[in-house]
Amino acid sequence: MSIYFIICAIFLQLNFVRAQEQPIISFTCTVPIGYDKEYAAMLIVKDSLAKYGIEMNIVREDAGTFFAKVWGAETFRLTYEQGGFDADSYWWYWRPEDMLFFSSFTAKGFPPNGWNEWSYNNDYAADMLDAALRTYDINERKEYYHKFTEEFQKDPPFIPLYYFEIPKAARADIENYDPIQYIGQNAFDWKVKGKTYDDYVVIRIAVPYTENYIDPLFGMTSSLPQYACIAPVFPNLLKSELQPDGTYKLVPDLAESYEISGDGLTITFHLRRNIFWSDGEPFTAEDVKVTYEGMLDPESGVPALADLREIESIETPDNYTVIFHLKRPHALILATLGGYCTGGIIPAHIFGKIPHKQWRGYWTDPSQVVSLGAYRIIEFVPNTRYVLEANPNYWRGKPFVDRIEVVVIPETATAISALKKGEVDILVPEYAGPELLAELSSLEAAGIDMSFVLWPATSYLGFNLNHPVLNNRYVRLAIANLIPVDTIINDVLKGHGRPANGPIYPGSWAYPSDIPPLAKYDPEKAMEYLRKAGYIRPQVITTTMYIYMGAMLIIGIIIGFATGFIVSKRRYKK
Amino acid sequence: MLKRYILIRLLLAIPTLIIVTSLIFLLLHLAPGNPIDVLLAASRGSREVREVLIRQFGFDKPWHIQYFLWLYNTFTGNLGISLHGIPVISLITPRVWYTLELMLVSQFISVFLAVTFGALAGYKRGSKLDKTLTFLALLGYSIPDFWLGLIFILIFSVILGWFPVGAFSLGLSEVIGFASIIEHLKYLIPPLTVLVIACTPYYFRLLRSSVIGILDADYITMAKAKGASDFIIIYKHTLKNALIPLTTAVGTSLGLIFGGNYIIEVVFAWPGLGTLLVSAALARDYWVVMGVSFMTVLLIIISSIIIDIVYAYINPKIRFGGAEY
Repeated sequence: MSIYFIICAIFLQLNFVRAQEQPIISFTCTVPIGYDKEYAAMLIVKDSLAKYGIEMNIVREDAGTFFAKVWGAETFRLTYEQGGFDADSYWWYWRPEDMLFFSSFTAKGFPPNGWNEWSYNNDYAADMLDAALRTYDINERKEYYHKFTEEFQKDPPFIPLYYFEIPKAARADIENYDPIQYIGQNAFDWKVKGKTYDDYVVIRIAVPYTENYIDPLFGMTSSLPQYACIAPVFPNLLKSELQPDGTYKLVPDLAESYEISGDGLTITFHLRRNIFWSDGEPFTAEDVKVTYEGMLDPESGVPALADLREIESIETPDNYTVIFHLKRPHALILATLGGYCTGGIIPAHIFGKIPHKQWRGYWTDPSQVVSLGAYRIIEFVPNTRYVLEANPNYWRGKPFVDRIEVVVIPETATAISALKKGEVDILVPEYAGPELLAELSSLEAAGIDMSFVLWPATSYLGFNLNHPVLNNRYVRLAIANLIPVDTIINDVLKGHGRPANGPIYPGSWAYPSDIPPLAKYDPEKAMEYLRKAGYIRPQVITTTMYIYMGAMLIIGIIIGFATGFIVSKRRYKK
Repeated sequence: MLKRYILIRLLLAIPTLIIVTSLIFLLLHLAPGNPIDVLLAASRGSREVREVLIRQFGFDKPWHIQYFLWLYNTFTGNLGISLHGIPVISLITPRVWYTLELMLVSQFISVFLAVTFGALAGYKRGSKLDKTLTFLALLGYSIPDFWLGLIFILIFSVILGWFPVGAFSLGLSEVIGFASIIEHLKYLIPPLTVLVIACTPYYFRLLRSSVIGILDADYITMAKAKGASDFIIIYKHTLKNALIPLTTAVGTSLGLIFGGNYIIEVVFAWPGLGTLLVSAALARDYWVVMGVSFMTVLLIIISSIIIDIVYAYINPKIRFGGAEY
């Protein structure tokens, strides 16, 4: 009998413990395949969250499915059960020279105007971002971005986890190679130790994939590896340049100089003279006008940044002056005229004659391509290789490197082996991952420069703010306080990273260095936030429970002794 | 009879092609997301162009209409245009030869090795040679070919430096002259070896067991009794019969052979259909995926017809009856 009661008590207690183990919040985090760092980090976060009653399931999806769910118009704002996503983790790339893509943090960035994947809707943050766009003064803008980051920490649509460094992964004797600038705009400056200007120098670059464009409007507005393939061929009005302090700044390229009017509504570019297209035609203001008017017409299908839509009209008073009239002052317009995500200038004497609708895929063969850049495209095999050759008539002179071959190697392990063996000279940053980190010492021994540079990206755990639980900012803040970010940096990144305080990466001029990291491990604070959110787990095993169980135990023992006593007495009587 | 048989098989290929490609198209559509969304996500551009692009590529129509339009265009010789403006046919044609080269050569070598060693092992059943060969076959059979490819690169390309790491510098250019053939072979040998190691054990085991089965047959005893030499017994009486199950195996595993081939292509960056298919599938490039699948199904159908003909040649008992095909 007493055993029966003891078992009852234990059973009850087990039930309470089980109740304690039931998650109070449950959601699914999607990590795209190929983002191995983020997956490893999420496994650590999952363990940490589970201790405090937050259940995070992790699913991996191929990047196509994942991006379709996150960005797709049909699945936009649906939760994971409905076919969208609850939470996601990957890294978001930011341009080092200015705050492109930041429109995604405002409700104004909802489709069709932008890519607010988290459905973030915070008026103050949106106002700060908007104010930062309406002035061209860099100190004033910095202040607005500082205020934005502070507000972001109070109501984050995603938890920035860390900024990470990537190894250069280039042959050590290549000088001036900057992975941050990619090969896009500084291939002209490359030198190779031990070679002279007269030597025929060939550099081979491995990319994991390309999108197979050879025209700048589509090719340079798609992924970074694709950008690497053709950016040296097609320059733009401005380009980004590394400053002595380590930040990046926009400097004139095809333009000689530019000025912004006092009201900020007119930007005048003075173009360089005596530049010629590869077919001998001179480069004029008409080329710039045709390029940007085409990009502004949706019929052309150019996926140009929404920021470009702030252009009201383009005027060409003479052959070497272009005036952009804006609808309102827009600081990002300079960055959008400077390269990635905008494409390069295309020849008006070819594209001006064909309707915008036919622009996509108009050039399919290198022999058709007419360009201005330091390099010319001479061979193009879709999904296999791009071959660029130095342009002897380039206006700054013939580049040092005579031939750039971009080859597609889909398998990371194969690409690393090829680098080790010297069959390729540079691996683009897309290959940076655990596999490359594991080969660090052997690659260094093979004469590869594996020094680390901070990559302009923020790795994060983001939320779909239409999720019924995750839309509560205190839940998000509680999760942010349960992330062992130091463990992640030491274990996953092998120390090559640092905790993030917001979306702006430390290499940017706008980085607010005085704000502490958002993600940290502080369970007490997390509990406080969970209590505020109303998701605290009730303390099931209370003192009364213990008293109750103790009483049961004692009653059991007493009854047991009593029955034993009675039974033994009866036996004795008999 | 043969001509008629081939004609009927070719006609039957049309419904097969339609069924397979429509299934693939349906699966592509069941995967979430629109190709245009994936295309635009990479650039984070304005979404105003989305509607325009969807209209331009015809993705605004219901899927069955899209499919029938594609089918109509395909049978008129137009495989469509990739999301990046390149005609699919010009993406596929140069790659078909590379895939076929890799596959045909590897299959011929595999079958040759399997026949030689399979017959030997079957005939000398239980001997040391048989045990060694069976063990090696089991080993080769168990190793995943993907992993084997990576190990091959590590050992023969990185450590020993005999071969180039991948075929990425192999332009789809002309192969003229002896020097360039040697150059070409350098790229061909690594993926070829891996494919041979992956395929041979399967054929070897099959051939060995069927040789053993046949050696127990009465007509072999009869041949032995009449004093035929070992050579005659193996190569005349046994092997011809043992080849029938092997041919069947090759015929039925064509799909697997293509699949394995495509994976190896990705590992060695071989410029064939496999690398194209993988990158197109990840980018949701519907028409390229459809084009490559169409080509693959076509190749499989043609090879199975060839195998059927070989079948009849090996075994005269199998005739192309008018009714049965």
